Amino acid sequence: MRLDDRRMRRQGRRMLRTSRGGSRIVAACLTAGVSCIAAHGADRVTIAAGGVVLPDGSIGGASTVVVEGGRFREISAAASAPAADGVVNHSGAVLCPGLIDARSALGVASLGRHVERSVAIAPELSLREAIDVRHRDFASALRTGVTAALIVPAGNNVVGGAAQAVRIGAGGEAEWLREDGPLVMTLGQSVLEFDREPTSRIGAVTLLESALSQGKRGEGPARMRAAARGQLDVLMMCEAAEDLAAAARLLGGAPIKARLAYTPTDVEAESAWMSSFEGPVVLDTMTFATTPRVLRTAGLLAAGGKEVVFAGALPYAPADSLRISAALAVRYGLDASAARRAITINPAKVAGVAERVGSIEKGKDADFVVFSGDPLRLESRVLEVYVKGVKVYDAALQTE
Amino acid sequence: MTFKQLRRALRLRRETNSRSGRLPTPYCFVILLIVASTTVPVQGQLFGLGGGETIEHARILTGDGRVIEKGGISIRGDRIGDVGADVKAGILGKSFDATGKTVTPGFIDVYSGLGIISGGGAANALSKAADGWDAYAADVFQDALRNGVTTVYVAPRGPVGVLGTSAIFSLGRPESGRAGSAIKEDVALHVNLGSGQSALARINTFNNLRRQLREALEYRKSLEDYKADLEEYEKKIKERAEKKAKEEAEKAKSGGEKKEADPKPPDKKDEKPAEPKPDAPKPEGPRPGPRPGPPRPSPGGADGATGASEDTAGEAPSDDPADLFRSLMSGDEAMFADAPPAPGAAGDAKKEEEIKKPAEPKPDRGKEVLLKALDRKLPVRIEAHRSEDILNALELAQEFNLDLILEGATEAYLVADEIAKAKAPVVLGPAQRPELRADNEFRRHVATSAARLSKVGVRWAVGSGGGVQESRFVLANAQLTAGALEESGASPLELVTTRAARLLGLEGAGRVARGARADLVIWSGDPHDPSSVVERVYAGGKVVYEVKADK
Repeated sequence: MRLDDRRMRRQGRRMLRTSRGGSRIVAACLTAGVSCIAAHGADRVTIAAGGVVLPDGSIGGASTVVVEGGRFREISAAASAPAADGVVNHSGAVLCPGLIDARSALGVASLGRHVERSVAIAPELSLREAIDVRHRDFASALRTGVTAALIVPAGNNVVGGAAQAVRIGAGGEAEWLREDGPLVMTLGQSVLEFDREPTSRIGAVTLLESALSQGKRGEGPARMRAAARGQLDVLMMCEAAEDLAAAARLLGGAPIKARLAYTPTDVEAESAWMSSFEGPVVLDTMTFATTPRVLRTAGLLAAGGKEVVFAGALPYAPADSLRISAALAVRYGLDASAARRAITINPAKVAGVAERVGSIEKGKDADFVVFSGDPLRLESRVLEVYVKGVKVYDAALQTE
Repeated sequence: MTFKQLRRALRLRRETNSRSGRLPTPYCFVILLIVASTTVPVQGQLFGLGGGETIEHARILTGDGRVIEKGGISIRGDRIGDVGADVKAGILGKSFDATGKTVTPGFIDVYSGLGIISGGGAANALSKAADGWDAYAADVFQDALRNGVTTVYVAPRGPVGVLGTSAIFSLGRPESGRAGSAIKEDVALHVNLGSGQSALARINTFNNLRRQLREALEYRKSLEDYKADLEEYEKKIKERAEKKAKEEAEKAKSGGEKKEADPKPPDKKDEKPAEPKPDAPKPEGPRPGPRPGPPRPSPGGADGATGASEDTAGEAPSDDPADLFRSLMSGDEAMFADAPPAPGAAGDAKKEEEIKKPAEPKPDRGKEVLLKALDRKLPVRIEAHRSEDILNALELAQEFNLDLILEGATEAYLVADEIAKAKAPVVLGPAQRPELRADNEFRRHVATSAARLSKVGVRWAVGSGGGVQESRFVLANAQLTAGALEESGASPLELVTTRAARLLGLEGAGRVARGARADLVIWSGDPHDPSSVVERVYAGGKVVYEVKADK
């Protein structure tokens, strides 16, 4: 008895000790990689790489990429890079556009509730008011090659307000990539509450319908008017097939510009509704636990001519969730190029920032990742991350 | 023509063996020499014998790091017959042309929940993963095979504490319903220290575990004591019997020739030849001469033979001193039936001190399982995620001399030196753990844990973590883990084949080599490339998956 008592106390002490020590080590791990980044003053950087992920998602051969003024200046297929000063040589590596999470909660996850529960139609809300731009989750995401994200409000409102597209810059600090929007709407179980409207699926659809028709008539909040007239893009999040059917009816067709976030369960039956939405469909994060049926949907959609996007769901999802989703979908029939597009240029389109980021093209912002190999091969590591032409992460400098 | 030659050769060999002597001896000898000089595999190769298939022209990743750019693999039964650049199907053999394709060993998941029937309540040392495994889940298995997984190590499910023993299964296609089969049972004892619980609950779990192990040791002690007592007891009984026998013999000597003159009993059916004493009170059978003890109401005597025998046998225990003694001795009648002097001795037993038979401890199979673990005959896999739980596990292993394997071990990198000192291997959980935001026992998961363990010389492997679906992606999991290794300590393929087999003690599995288990996967390209598709899978030499038949 006394022995056990003593043991317990000893254990308690040890527990305290290790947890304190442990958190210190973890904190060091988290900060080291990002904080020791030298803000390169150099305006012009030339990088020679073994391969480059091209805008169509395929991997081009050995190339030289010139970055100037924070943008891609020149991309040339050069078998060997000129061995000159200021040339960064990554002969075995693959240059990939910075990965983009199109359905993220980075920077808002730790702040508690960030959706307004009392009202269902809240287009006037802007999620940016709730984002902690210096949250350490941004730095963590950056280390896995994520340079931009569309931070969306949780789906508890039928109209949840404006999402915020951000870029993760030096020091893991977020900056706005876009002034306003897209406007996020949701249909599904999660918008229903017992103490405010809507309390049923029918109620939710009716509320959305009346808000939209109000907007079309030029009434109601500004964002709703803009969305109804096609001046502001919409991200529609649907949970089940019946939500998808209703959303397709309400938002399908001009002038509304709506994109869809949805996990198809029966692609053949649902693809007709999905075609009412323009652009790529945002699919849920794929994990090792995702059933084969869902894993196959990306390939089936792509075969039907629909582009796809994998939500990263950071920070709730595991690190590397974007690459894991893409790699697993490829195992289940998605074309490799389409899979690379699904985590780079396509999410940029969903976030409405594709003219600036999402691909390695002349004139675009030089946000890119140096992977040790094909980003779809999961053993490939992030070697370096550049944002606006500046190296913001270097794995070699990361201490244990 | 070749077939004829072969038959002739065989006939010749048979003839030489039977020494028919039809052929001249030197000729026989030469043929014998030729046949004998070609080894069995070479003969098989030449003629394509052995029944199995031969995979030809394949790029072979053997699993231990070697690559054969273009070679063949022959299958003999459930084993690999031969591997090499020059292995061909032969003229009569069946072949599979794998030009442009890559062959790997079947992948092994060292910690899986595939096929386990979920919803287990309480668990104990007697719980077996093999009992809770759904061998009929063909669709789940086909999906694992589609990803190259042929073998899974399945741990028993349960809350915390001792969970039971694990088993290793081979996945296949349905054969009379069952699609999978156990290749090894009771591989290790599983224990969960419950790192997800509160601190006090964890301490409680740990102390319970320690108490259980102590109790198992006490149980053994009581068994040993019983054995010693029993021996002592038997010795005493024997001594007494000998003493009696001696006395009897002396009595007989002085009593004259009466014994010799005694007639044999007429009915030998129930008689023990070792009990020929005339004065022994025999309950069975009528016996001439006066009987000791009170008079019986039996109609016995010399006339009603069978009826009397049954009657007296039925009543005997009530008044026969021999039976009284027997019933006193609590069972074990067989032993006393054989003890020759028992009936004779019984008469005097009351006078002497009573010899007490020791009480046998109640058998406890659960404790016997724990004892196997305490004898290091059963490895103990302890799931612990927090560093303090890992330290506890190490302490326990040292105290009870357990063959410890750490399971999960999320914070192993924080106590890597201690693990190295204890020489305990680690089975890391899935690399795909929440890293950015988690407030549970996985919150300190880092991708670089394996690298740290490698650095201090800890043997580690990576498992899929016990989920039902996750086993499909053992290679992806290993790829993620290997990607975090700075100096690339292990190739992902090696992790899920050779290294996995070594950890599980599956010698002759997880590699493409002569004599190894014929678990083979034929890929359209390199398995690390997610675009590669599994085209065919062999498990135990049988084709269990074919992409052509898949959808």
